[in-house]
Amino acid sequence: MKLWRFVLKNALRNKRRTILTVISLAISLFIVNTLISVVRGFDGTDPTGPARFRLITRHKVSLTNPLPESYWEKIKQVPHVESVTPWSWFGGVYKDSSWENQFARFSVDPETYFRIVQGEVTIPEDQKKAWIEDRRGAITGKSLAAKQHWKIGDTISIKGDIYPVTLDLVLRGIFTANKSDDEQNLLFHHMYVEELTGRKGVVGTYWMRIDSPENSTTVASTIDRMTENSDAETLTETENQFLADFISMMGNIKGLIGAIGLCVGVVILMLAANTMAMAVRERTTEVAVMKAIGFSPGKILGIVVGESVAIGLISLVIACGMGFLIYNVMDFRLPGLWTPMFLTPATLLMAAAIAIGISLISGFIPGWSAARMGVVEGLRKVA
Amino acid sequence: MAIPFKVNLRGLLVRKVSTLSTVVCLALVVAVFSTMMALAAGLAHTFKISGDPLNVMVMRDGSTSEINSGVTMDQYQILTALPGAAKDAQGKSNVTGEIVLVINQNKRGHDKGANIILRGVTQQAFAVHPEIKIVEGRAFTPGQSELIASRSISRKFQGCGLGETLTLRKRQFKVVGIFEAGGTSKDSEILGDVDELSDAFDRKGYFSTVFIRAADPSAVALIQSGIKGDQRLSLKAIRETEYFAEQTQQAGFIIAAGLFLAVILAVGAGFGAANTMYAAVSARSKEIGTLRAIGFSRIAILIAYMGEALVLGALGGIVGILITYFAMNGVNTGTINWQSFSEVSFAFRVTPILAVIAIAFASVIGALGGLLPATLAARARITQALRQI
Repeated sequence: MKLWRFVLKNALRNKRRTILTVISLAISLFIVNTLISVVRGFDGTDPTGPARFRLITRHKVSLTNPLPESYWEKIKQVPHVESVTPWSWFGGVYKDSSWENQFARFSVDPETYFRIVQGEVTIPEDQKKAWIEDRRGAITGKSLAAKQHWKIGDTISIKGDIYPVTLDLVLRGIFTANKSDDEQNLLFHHMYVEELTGRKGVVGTYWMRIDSPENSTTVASTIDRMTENSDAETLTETENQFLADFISMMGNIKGLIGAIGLCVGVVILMLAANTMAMAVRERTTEVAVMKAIGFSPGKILGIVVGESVAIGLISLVIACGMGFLIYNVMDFRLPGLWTPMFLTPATLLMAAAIAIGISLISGFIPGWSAARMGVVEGLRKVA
Repeated sequence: MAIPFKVNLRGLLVRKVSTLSTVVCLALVVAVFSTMMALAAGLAHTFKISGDPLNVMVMRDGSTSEINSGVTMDQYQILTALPGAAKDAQGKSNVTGEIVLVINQNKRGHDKGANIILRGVTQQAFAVHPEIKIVEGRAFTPGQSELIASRSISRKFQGCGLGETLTLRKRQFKVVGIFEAGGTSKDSEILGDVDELSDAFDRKGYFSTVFIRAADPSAVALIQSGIKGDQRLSLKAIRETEYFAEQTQQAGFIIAAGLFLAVILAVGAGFGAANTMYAAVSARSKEIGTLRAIGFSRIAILIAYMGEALVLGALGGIVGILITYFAMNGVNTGTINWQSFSEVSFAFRVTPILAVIAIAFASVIGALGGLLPATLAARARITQALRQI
């Protein structure tokens, strides 16, 4: 459309106002992006991703109740289960309880661990072997190792709180994961913890890989039926469901984020509408002239809405650029939030829908009054 | 001489739409900020008042929460005989051995559960935790499968209301009373007889925590040193207030997230405020020129427009904090206590300090947004400003 140039020129007429508006919209849209990514992070991993091959068995009552080690053999026998490892939260304190020293520590069975995360976690073969062979050995993800400045061969001491023992670990390997949020763990031998605690034969949860996602319900119900009426009844869920449950324990976070998102949305609407109202008010005479020389009300409306959408789109591009740089490139996370905040195409699409929707509304209100304005009246008004 | 402030207040009223939208923007930013802070304040408050300065908590050395602690019966016997504890009318020490269990119970109207703390207590517990007050029904009878639930738990969870029955490890426990505990962490718990519960959960032979209530504030240290000095006990004795102070750190995350959102949104709203003020200044350039011509100084103009921006900000702040106050203050919510992996309920708290901070915060955003437009106004050349139509 020929009028595009006109619309852009209009947008740039008051550069200062446009720039201020674009910055404020971009920042608000950036927050929208952030909120969407947090919610998406909480929604668990990609439902089509490799996580759907994995199930977690925990004590039915709560995560704090341990399961007997004897279940390991039992779960191994269940049809469709390919491999299963104990996966126990160790907790404990590394150095002190400050935020930078908070990271997840789990005890696992090293050999089965690699079978469960196959295709997602890579580690040099010699490091893998060194870890499997060293009972005091530990491995960690690249991103956590970098944060803690750990090198292979370093000793890491974790003072237990749930268990009254201190782990003296030696870092034997550093793995890389497809997603850096999977690189935040410190993993060590289940048997080492068992030895220190005096062979109690307890496991936090069991983590398993199944042959096909379609069998997840069957496997889950087989395991849970097997433990029914025992002292430790279990609840088996897919990894995604497990994470979702975990998040829901923190309270109605989604509700809170939704409310914040709504506030931010209204802020964006107010900012954009204010600017467009100012812009149209300034041009009252001009709009009247345009109408006098034959511009139809529809065109006038289109021009105003077009300008609003143009400003919205520029802001959107900046907001997404900011988000991409901060979350995807720099991998910034809020302290204490373990979920990644990467922007995905779905997030960007949603932000775009919000930006365009709000631009349309904020352009429509002043545009509509401009389109309906009487020519004589408009020409008489002195801006 | 200063410009009468009325001039600027009138100015705000002339551009109603613009003023209104800026105030709404600032108000919403303040509402987001103060809601997060009210959440953090509510959580911190619950933990803060939960600690009784007279109570000493005895746990296994090295454990960080009641959940992973254990005190044997032998140790408990020694603890009951320690000097410094308050005594009841019968001369019994105010010492209670308690067992802390976590159960997963479905919330009302959901098929998803959350964890609740189930605390087995002795009769002494009511003396050690005087904040617990039965408000409906009666206390549980020792030796019976009976429980009392806090008001908030009874409302939120299935099977926890008065007269309802909870199945725990295949045993039926009846809820015979509802208690309130003054907004402390006990308000997120269910209590029952320690012997019955440890029997049901197969946890006989030890307590999670032993609480000792000191006779007076000076006796607290005496109790602590008594435990530390006893070779037979490898237990740690901390003040209940200290224990909860540590849990308060949890609110830190909410504060961090709230500040993160607030600061970024404030920048956005600040630019919005700047836009409004620029429009105000440019619409009144002739007026500014006139004021300068009749002798008002540049400083007077700067102050007047900064003042206008400040009012804009403060208005936003006041509206924002009012939104939060009326929508959120006192609203009950719950989150997980990472120490015990169970539900802790608390209420949003809009404190006077928070209100002052929120209004000041919005005023600062307004003032920063108004700084450049006000400078522009102050620097206007008289002749040019007057020549403008």
